Amino acid sequence: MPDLLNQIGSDTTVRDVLADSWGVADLRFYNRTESTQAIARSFADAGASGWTMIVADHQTAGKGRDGNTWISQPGSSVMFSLLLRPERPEALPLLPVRIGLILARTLDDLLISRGASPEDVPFVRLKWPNDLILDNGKIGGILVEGITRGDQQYVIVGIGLNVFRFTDVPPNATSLSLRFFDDYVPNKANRLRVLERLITALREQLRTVPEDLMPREIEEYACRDWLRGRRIVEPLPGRVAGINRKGYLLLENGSDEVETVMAGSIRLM
Amino acid sequence: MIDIDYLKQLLDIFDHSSVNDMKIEKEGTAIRLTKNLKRENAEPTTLHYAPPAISSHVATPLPTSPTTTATPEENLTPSSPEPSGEQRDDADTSYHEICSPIVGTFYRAPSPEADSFVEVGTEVSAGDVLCIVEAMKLMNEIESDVSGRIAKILIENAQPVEYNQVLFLIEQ
Repeated sequence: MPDLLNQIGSDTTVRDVLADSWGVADLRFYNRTESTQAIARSFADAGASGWTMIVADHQTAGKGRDGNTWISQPGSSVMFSLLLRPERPEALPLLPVRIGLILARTLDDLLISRGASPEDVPFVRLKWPNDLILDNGKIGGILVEGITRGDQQYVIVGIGLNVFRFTDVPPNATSLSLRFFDDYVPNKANRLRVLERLITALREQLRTVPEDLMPREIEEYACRDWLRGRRIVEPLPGRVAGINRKGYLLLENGSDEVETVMAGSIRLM
Repeated sequence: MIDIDYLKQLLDIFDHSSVNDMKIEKEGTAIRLTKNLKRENAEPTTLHYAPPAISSHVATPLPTSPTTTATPEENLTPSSPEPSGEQRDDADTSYHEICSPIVGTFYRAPSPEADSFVEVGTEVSAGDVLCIVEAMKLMNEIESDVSGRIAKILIENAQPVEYNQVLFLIEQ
């Protein structure tokens, strides 16, 4: 089946059918753009509804965390930004963790449906707070940007997933090797199908979420926690013990106390 | 004036009682105790991402930690215990407060090398970015919702902030 993602472009009929089928308010496709995050933000500032979705076949200045660039090549990735207008801001800090869980779960299902053994789950792990890990390499990332003005607030969730292998990766682009979804499935992957599964999972599972992580979410995170048991040197030195119900990283530092890390970039020992 | 130990005992008894509202007058001081039943009976907090229709975006007020609040009434002396809220010396109603929408780390600039978004004295317009509050890589840009002059920056760069903590005072 051909990969249709780069053929949708400005075809409004296809776009409307997909938006309706996926349950999103509006859907825009770009074959090539600087950044889906920036476009989503301009839509938000113009008053677009929550669940407006911006998809690109290729980004020339895709955003990663800390101002890094998200690396991709035309035809290689699933990349989209989603505008959300949360009614209550309390659970916003948990969004990267929660979205990570939803995406990891969905990708596991996709891998199984394409021939992977269900006995080997979980395949996709999470590197706190926003990386998707497969086979000890990075397969995707999540970037959540919030904008608050008075009592108005919106967030833009950026998701990038490596689907087809590309080789032209700048040196030191990531601290981990890249992984590509298509390398792990027997049949050629289809980006439109992957995109559809990811967005429908987000639509179903992000409707109503509690302020804190639920016990089953913490339990699932523990199974998928790629950092658990590893030693890190930044933002604080210690051994990762997991996350708590607020999504903060728990670190054992050799004393009896467990330290809580709320922010910062992880550097492994 | 009411003794603070007496007041603590009173709060403890009140908390564990079935009484919801109580007023005590002693030695010229009146204290009213009210249980916040709304919070006690409230359903667990959930975050709704409303589907397509544009939702209203009302920030909920900062919950008070105890279920019991002491509301000073008339005749309270200035040194009365348990004031109803934290008082800032510079509290002035002419200032517009910019508060943090989330618990996180406060950053005055987009990156360590970059200039601060604003300084004390900077004239800002509605929509100008004032700071970033970061939590677990959720970078939350806080924009001004009014036009005016930055009168005070109440938090040092890279310091933790609480939900609803006042970050800036803007003179309109």
